[in-house]
Amino acid sequence: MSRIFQDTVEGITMARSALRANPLRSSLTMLGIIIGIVTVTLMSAFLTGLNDMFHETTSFMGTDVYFIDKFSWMGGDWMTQMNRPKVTADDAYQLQRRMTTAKAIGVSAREDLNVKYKLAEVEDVSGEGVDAGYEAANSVEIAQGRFFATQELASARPVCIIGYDTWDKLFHKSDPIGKQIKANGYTLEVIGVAKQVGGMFGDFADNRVLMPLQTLFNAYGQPDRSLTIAVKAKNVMEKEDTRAELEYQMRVLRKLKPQDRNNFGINSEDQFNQTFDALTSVLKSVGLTITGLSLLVGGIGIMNIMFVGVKERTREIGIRKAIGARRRMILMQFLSEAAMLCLVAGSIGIIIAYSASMYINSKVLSADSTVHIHFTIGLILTGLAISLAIGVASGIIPAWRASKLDPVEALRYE
Amino acid sequence: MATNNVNAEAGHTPENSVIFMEQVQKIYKMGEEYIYALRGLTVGVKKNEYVAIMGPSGSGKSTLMNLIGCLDSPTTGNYFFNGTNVAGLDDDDLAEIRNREIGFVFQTFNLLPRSDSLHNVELPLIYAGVGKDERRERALQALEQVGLADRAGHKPNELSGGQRQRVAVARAIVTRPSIILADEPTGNLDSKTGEDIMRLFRELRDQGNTLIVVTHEEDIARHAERVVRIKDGLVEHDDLIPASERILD
Repeated sequence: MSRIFQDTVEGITMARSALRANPLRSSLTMLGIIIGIVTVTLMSAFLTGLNDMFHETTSFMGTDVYFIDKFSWMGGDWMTQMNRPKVTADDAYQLQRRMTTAKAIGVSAREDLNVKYKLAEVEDVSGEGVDAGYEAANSVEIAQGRFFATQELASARPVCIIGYDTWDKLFHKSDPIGKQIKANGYTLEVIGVAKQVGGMFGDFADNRVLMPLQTLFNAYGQPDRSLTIAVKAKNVMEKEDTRAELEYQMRVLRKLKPQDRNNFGINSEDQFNQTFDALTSVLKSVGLTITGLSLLVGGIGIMNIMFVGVKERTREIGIRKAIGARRRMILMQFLSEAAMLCLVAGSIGIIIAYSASMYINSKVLSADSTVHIHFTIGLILTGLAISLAIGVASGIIPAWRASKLDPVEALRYE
Repeated sequence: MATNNVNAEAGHTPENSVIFMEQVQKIYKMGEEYIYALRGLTVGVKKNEYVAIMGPSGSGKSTLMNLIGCLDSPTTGNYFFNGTNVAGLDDDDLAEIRNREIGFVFQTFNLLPRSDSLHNVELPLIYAGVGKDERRERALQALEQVGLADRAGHKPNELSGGQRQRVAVARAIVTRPSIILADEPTGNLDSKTGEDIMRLFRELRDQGNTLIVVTHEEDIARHAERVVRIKDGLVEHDDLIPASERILD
């Protein structure tokens, strides 16, 4: 056992002196591996970051919430969907009566708003008129102030709850409670600020103004609005049952025959997940294939250099054998050389990739962008392991050939 | 016609000799032809003998040296090393014998060019699995024996030819081998330096080592006590050199 260790140590010593003897050649050889490792690790880190960000933030919606909407979120024929009947408050009312597996049902209607407070103005704010069930169904968290009181909802009071970003931009984080803002010219009193959501949906969730549903109708009109009904499952584990019941109830309401397709959309976060996962696995396969190719090229380069090195050192191998080196020792020595070359190259690659990711994260991606390149310890170790594996795989054949050399002929080699 | 003259001194047997070759043949196949490098040669060397092996090119002397040095195996016949027949041993076992029992000295020195003297001399001990401290000490001792302890950190290209050969000798003796096998040890040296090396050999001989020197030069051969002349793959003559004809310092 200690013999194997000694052989490896001697191999490493040989490797270091060989690398130092020919720095240009060593550098060029390592270049392929370095580039390969840089691309593989950067790509993996990027995908990890993308994944993190996505999965962290979709919980904004809640994995157990289904949305009845006129449109289906992911794909489908827009033209057909345009002609669907709109979702009404009555639909919501009926669902509230009939659903047995829902914990909460909330209704909302949308309007794009320009919001002003004194001299500050924010455009493209999502206005949402909501009902009592909205808070629970959509898991709205209030950071300051409170949600709407039943009275305010019933009598369409001109009150609102603003999102985190809207609060920041209009009030610069000063106390907004009781102040009045104008949304598309309509005056609303602020009674609450929602907790920051951030993440991928931060742009939408933190940049909105909530008000009672009837208030929205009063302010901006009602006709032709299609509402969104949010249905939260009673039990996360049995959310599929909730979805099934929801679909059933809606089909009954719409009086659809068994062969008719849904004329409404049932949407949930899962769709995002699935689409996202599909997207990332395609990205992963393609990306890693391409970057893997450069590693292959690097490995071939290593193998080539090892062959050349063995040939050049035929005499030396003969000497070592004459002195008493066994085949396995010669093998280990050359294998260590290839492995070391690759480990050094891999380390350099990882350092470069890490620095690049730091730079990209700070300079290229903006401070509040949620995508970032995520370097984990696991990734670093994997990168090193890959380098080592390539070193061994590329070096094994040349090393084996070296070990098989006939000492008598090797000694004669000029 | 060359005869397989039996050894000059009666009584070389596998048991009392360090090395004993018995009816050894070495046959190479070159394409369709068979080349008989050794044709059933018999020779023995006892402990502390100082033997020169001479012969023209094509005589088989290089082949004989390779066999003695366990760099190669006989095609037929027996080779007894310290009483054990090594003719049938595998590569790893032969490597072990080369490592522990044989000290090579080559015409072209054959030092590792990128390692310093100390590392070169340590190498056999590394392969023998000797621990770091012990092998360093032994390597330094060997270098001292050849008078080059102060050159331990020098690389071969920083040494003269004679110094390189001496480092090679230090490497050859560091494992305290059964035989020291030298192939034209002075071939790449000028005559004065060559003399220095031969003097070193005499010292080694006096310290109890067994020396076998393969050479084609009479002057070098006459440093030894006994000359074995090879021709056409067989021993032609095997004589002790009379004291009057020997070169003693």
